[in-house]
Amino acid sequence: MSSTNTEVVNDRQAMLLLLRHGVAFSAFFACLTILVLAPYRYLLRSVGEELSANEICELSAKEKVLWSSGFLSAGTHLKKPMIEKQQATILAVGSSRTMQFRTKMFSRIPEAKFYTVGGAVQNAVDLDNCIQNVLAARPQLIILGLDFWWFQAANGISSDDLIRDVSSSLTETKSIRETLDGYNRAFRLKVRFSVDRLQMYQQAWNDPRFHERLWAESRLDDATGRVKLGCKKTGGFRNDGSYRYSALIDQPFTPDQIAAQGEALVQAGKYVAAGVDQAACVRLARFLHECRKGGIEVVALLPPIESRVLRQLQAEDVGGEFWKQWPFITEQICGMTGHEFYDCSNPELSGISSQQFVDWLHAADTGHASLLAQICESTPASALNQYVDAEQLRADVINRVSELDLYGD
Amino acid sequence: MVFNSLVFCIFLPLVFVAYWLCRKQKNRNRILLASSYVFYGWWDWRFLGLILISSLVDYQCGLKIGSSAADSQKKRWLAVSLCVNLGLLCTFKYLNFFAESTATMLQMLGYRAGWSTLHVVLPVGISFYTFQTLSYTIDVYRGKCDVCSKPLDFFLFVAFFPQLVAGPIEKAHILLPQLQKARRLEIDSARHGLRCILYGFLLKSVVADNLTAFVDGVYNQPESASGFELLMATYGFAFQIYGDFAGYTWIAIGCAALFGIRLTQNFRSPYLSESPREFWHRWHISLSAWFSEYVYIGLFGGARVSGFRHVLNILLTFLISGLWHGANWTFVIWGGLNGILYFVAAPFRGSWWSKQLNAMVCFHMICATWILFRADSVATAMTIFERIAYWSPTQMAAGTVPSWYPVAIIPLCVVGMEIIGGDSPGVLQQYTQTTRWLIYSLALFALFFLGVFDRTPYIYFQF
Repeated sequence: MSSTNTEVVNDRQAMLLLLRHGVAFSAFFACLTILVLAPYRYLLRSVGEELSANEICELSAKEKVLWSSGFLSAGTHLKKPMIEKQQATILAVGSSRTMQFRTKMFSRIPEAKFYTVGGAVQNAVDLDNCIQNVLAARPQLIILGLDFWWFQAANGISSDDLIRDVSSSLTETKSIRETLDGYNRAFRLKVRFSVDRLQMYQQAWNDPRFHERLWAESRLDDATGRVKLGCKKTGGFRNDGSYRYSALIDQPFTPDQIAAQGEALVQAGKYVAAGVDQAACVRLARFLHECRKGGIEVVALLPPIESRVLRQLQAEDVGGEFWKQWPFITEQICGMTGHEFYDCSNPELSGISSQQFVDWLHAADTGHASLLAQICESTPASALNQYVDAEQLRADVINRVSELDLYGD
Repeated sequence: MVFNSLVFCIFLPLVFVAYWLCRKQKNRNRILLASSYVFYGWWDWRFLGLILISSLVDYQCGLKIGSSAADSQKKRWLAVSLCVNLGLLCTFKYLNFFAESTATMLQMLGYRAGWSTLHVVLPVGISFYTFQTLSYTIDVYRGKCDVCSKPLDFFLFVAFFPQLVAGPIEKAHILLPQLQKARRLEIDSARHGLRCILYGFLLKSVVADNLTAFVDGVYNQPESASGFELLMATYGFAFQIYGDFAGYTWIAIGCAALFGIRLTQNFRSPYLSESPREFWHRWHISLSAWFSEYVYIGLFGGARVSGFRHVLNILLTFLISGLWHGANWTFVIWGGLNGILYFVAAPFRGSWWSKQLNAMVCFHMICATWILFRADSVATAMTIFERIAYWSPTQMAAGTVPSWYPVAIIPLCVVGMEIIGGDSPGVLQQYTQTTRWLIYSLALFALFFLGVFDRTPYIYFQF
């Protein structure tokens, strides 16, 4: 067919030659890929979409930031590494429901650093997995937000399941977020470039919202002087790891809308509980025990739930038995390991109104300020009193900027 | 196993290396046969029994036809081969269709049929390998092909994995001699194979699978789609089925080339045809050739008959071809309609523009037939025709635009690529290495960034 064949003596030599051509082409393709993707990645980096947890940590130490990402799963991408990187004295641990604790709430000792890794721990397995990080970080106090779904047997999620999800998402990418969530969990951000990432770019590129966000948010400085990073327009993480729900602060849901959202989920049977999950209890006990051994004080609490939705959740036919047992069991576990426990699930008891909820699961920082003040006032021996100035907090709540915005930042 | 799967991406290089590491031709064929059975058995190992029965019967029939002195004896063995192969095909593919059709007809005449249909699963690719193995016994009977005395070679001819489930349907006198002779790994042939594979994946994952969601969305609920959407979906389907089927056969051709075997080119830019007659010489060429040789000429006598009979022969051949595609009246009518269109000549003559106009007219005629091919039933096809015919521009709601935009872009890219590049990736051979590598890289980028990798099944597997 051509001159190449004349050089080839036998099939094995031909195979080797073919392999050589393959390697040469792969190198050519790799160089081309880098050239093609470099501007694209630069574009993403320039708006903060591609920043690593390290870089965000460094930036957060220097200037006022609001970091989020339209495409990376910010919760896992950013928060888990932050447990160790931030070296905080007071660490809030839990899901997004612990993301409304703020640095200014712990003002009694100014040099005591606060950081919330809210978002990094979504279930009891995550809690178990972060024990070593927490011990290595050695905070003096942990505020641990316990979510009811961690302990609902029917809702149990095993980390094995999450990792299995990744193997399927390698070929069947359903959405950018799903893929990246699984990718981050499975590879713990060690793999920086893969076909998944290419698919993410492709999906991002095909998503009109991407362009909208990219160009709209490419101006980094906004009126408040805050550095905005990432392509997400709606909000982001502040320097202390707390989350600013920018869009909802501007246009909050009405209490009826908030209640309706939760009630719809409850009625759909999403939170029907078969009982308290023993495995989750064991994991919680292990975490608390390890903290005790490491000399770390833990204040465990059940974050508030919008009152109408809470009543639905506690209804006999949905999860009556679970809601009777669960607070009691978790309190017992905390008691056994000598840690404090507060059931703050009923917002009315903490003086939090429905207007102080971002949505039915998330009370705003104004609500969390009331909650902390109430704990400190009702329990003078609480470890929180060392860091929280309850009087100041009450004053802050009175002078709040809006129902959902305590400090206006 | 399907080509667009991770398993196949591992399977092919393993077979390739094992195959060329063997020095003896016999061992190479053994490897190919074993891997072909693994490839086919990956779907359902029980269907391997059907291939084995078909291979065994035709191998024996070939031997008997070859050793028979009397013509009557040869005919008898040919009849055995035809009965077994067509019997298997009819049982698995057409039994329910004929039973239901007869029952409906009896019901229309006032009788009630007492039988019920069976739940028969259609084995993948049965229509393809049945036709291929039939070509052997017919060719041996006609003396066009030597008797294959080595079972290994013959069984490999029936089961050769690249073209086993969706063609190209190779005639015995073309493929068998290639399997029997010693082969060498030729670098250029292997390169050509890889080019064809890349082109095939491009057609499947970028062209066909990107159109699937829109086409299926509209065609699965045609009653809720506007005439404009149905029109767009029909154009989309024309390129979806082309990308899907041509993509498959290019991958098949490429894989075969890696093993030193040359398969028939099955598509030659069919949508650039100026008339339906030309279209059928460019679309699924191996099937058209099979029907032409064994049905149109072999069974009906071809063109060497009276004018009326000639017309009838063509119509009958297309009707049977329609039935081959599927056990449904939509396919039969599709075949008949193509038979009629076969006589429609290109309307314009002369300039370059006339050729383009002819291609446009031909494309629309073919698209009209695709409606029957894609619709679930004749009634649905009629509804689609009606909606498209009575479409008015006011139905073109702005909200529908994002869902059909790939239909407007992908076909243009395919047609543009074929006008500029020709009808085969082999044309790239004329360029310098750097240009070729740039083109391959571009194709790989398109595959990574635009490809859909959700393992969408190949349309032609159902046939």
